[in-house]
Amino acid sequence: MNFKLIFRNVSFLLFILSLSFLLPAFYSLWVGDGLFMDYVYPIVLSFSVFLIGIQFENKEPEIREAILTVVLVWFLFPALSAFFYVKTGAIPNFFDAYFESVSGFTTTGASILTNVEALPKSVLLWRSTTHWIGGIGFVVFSLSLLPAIGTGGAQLMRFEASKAVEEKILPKVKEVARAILIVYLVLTLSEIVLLKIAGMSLYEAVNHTFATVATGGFSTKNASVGAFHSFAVEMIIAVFMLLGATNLSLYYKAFRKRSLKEFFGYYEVKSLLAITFLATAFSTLLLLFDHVYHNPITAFRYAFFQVSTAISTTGFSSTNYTNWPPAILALIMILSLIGACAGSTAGGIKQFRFLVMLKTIYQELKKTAHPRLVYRITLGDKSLDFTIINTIWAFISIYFMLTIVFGFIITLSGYDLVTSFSASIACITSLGPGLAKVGPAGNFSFFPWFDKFLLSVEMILGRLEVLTVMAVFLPSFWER
Amino acid sequence: MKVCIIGAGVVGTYLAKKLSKENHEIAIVDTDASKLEQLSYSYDILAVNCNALNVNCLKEVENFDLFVVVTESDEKNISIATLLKALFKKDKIIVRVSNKAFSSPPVRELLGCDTVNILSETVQNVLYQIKFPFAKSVAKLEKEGIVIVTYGVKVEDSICGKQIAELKEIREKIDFTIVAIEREGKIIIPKGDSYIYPGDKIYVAVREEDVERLFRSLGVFYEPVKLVFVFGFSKFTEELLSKLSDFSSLRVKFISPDREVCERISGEFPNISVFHGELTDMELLKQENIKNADLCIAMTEDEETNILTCILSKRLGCKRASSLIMHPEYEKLIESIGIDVPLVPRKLLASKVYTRLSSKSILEFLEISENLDVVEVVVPDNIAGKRVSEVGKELCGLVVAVKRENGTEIVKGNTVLHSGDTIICVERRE
Repeated sequence: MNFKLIFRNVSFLLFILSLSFLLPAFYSLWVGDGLFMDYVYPIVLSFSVFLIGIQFENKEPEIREAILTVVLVWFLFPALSAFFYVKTGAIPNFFDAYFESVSGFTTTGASILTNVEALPKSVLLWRSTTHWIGGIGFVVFSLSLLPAIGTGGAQLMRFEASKAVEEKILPKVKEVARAILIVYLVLTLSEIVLLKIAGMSLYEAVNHTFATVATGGFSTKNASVGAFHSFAVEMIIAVFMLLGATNLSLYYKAFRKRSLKEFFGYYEVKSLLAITFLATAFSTLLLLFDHVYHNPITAFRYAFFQVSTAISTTGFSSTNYTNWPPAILALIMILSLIGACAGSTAGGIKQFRFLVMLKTIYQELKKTAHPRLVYRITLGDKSLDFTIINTIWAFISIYFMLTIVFGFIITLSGYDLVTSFSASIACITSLGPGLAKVGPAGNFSFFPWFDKFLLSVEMILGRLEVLTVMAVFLPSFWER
Repeated sequence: MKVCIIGAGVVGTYLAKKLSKENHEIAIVDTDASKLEQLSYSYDILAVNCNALNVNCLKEVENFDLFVVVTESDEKNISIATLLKALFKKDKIIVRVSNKAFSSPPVRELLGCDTVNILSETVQNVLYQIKFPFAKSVAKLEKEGIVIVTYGVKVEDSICGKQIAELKEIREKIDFTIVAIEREGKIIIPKGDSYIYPGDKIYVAVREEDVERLFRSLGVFYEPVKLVFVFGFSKFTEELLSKLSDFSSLRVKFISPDREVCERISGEFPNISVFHGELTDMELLKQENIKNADLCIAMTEDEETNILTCILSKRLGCKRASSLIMHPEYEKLIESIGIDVPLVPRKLLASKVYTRLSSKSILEFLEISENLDVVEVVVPDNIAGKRVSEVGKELCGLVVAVKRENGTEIVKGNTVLHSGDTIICVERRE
């Protein structure tokens, strides 16, 4: 293991990422809230580390070095951001600040802040920016901006983004990263424009767009999106959550082929839309039958928003849904566990794994009656090799195991089952708000520092798709 | 004509025999000396024992006009054709290929020789089994949309005991012609007063889209095919399965003893159930309900296995069985042991090659049974303007249809022939 190389790459990535502090920094100058220097410190800090790092020789990283680089960056950059929160005094406790940063970068949207609106506006902008950068991914973000860190970009990117079937849309990794960034920018700009048209102020539109396309969930309002009481705003955000929850490179492919069929014919998009449709219909009907709402349009409005936010693992809320029928609350948790498309900004086990899961179960049931049946799982027109299926099943198992283990650890602090397990699910899937005490009206501030740190780790595990991070903890990872 | 056949496999031998009987000059090239010896012993054929990929070997047959390249592999066939083309400036070369892409027009143009492929035709034969389960066999006349359906008349059929003339009413609604009746192995070209008896095999020429309507009005009832078993893997299997998976109402079960084949097929065709096991495993076949199967198709490369599998499936209750047969000679034998439809790709290939050899006036040639051929002939000037009923037998056996610029129609007695028309007729072979 070449630690010098890892140090070099990590410091390099951290420096590039810290440049993103410039956006809120300039905003802070603009509004004149006197926080400008606080934004400069992290950049100076990361730059000085980078100056040390650049002394080391640049080489092609091995797989293990690439994994460690990605994992370290994901643990360290939130620490830098937490340092900033503490420095500004917005969040005085370090573990609180770390939780808030991780929650931002992993696009979770879980918060320890009880009164968001009290924070300086530029700090809130940084909070939304963490979503936007985390959504596209640290490596993709850095790669698309710079002439690459040696040639190791391919290795790094593989461990950050999830892909259904390994495929490159362009021959060079850097080009892929740029294509993804362009798609991301187009989505972002179009949503800002639409929200502005729908009547939001530019500041609110930018903040909410960052949180939407990244499927994050931080809002600048205590009542989240519900604070705007606008049907148009809710629908725009709901649709863009789904758009952000779709494979970003798929847009590029469909655009290059000028074909909508390429997009809507993709198996993950089809299943995502199907699940969204069914869940919305179910929730709407249930809300009407339970007399929560009497107007079908209102019922649809809130149901569609909550279903989109759940399946895309965003975590906005357009209303306080705590008093909704429990079946819908359970559905929200289940939807977030399923999650959206691979290669998107959303979390969960992802649609393709869910499809593989259903297909394997169906075939195995069939095999009970026909013992000599031979089957292969197909996604789209590709048939999957058993080694891939094994990896997928290992992922699904470890994902659910971790969800349960973390939920159990939180119950040790004495919280009720619904709070503990929904917090665990909300963190690993990057949904954000859970149920009961951590529900849409509550937040995560009451947990002891230990639980906050564990949940932060869980969020990073979920964002990096578990296996990558877990691999670091194996003794064999460190063997020579 | 001087014809050189390269490759003394089943197709090569079959062609050599057939052509030598018709007084063509035949040479056959192969590396297997004993095979050649047998051939030249019983037929008047020049046998050349050498490897055709060797230039010196090709020099020995340099003075032949037409080359038919039918060795075992595509690669070898195409290489030999390239040598013939480039070094000996031969332009009449027919190459057998099994890869579909090789018989596409661009490849054909690039190679500068004729490539024939019988993959789709063989599979088409099976598809007819599914579409028209009542027919014994269906032969499609190339590109015309007219098919010749062979049907075994049963006692309960309403046409039984009727004269051909009595079918006039149906004929007014649907164009069709009964082109031949096979009774006790003899071919009868029917006239208006001929009777149809149970046990007869009738050959009916009709448009492909009218087949079902016609047989319904003839009072033939049949159950649609719902469950099909496909056994074993050969180059035809994939093409067949891809066609079968297009039928939405059809359930297909595929069995192969080769685990890798099973996995590949199940990956490629998700809606086909794939089972791993021996083809002759009775327990497996029973377990998978072969008794409800409407059609069993044995498709392995090994014809003994195919025959055995078909017999077994019929014994277990499968309604019809169809088997891939390598040797055209076995065809009759196989029908006699209860396999309903023999698939003989090599015969198809041989007849396709044969068409390209025959005298100029015949455009297409198709063998529909042992002693019945279909040929296409251009109408000569001396007959133009006459009615079909006046032509008699001077042109060919029985005129079935006439091809014009605006399509093909099934003829009636009063159809007038023009010069430039092409007629399709059925001929009894002597």
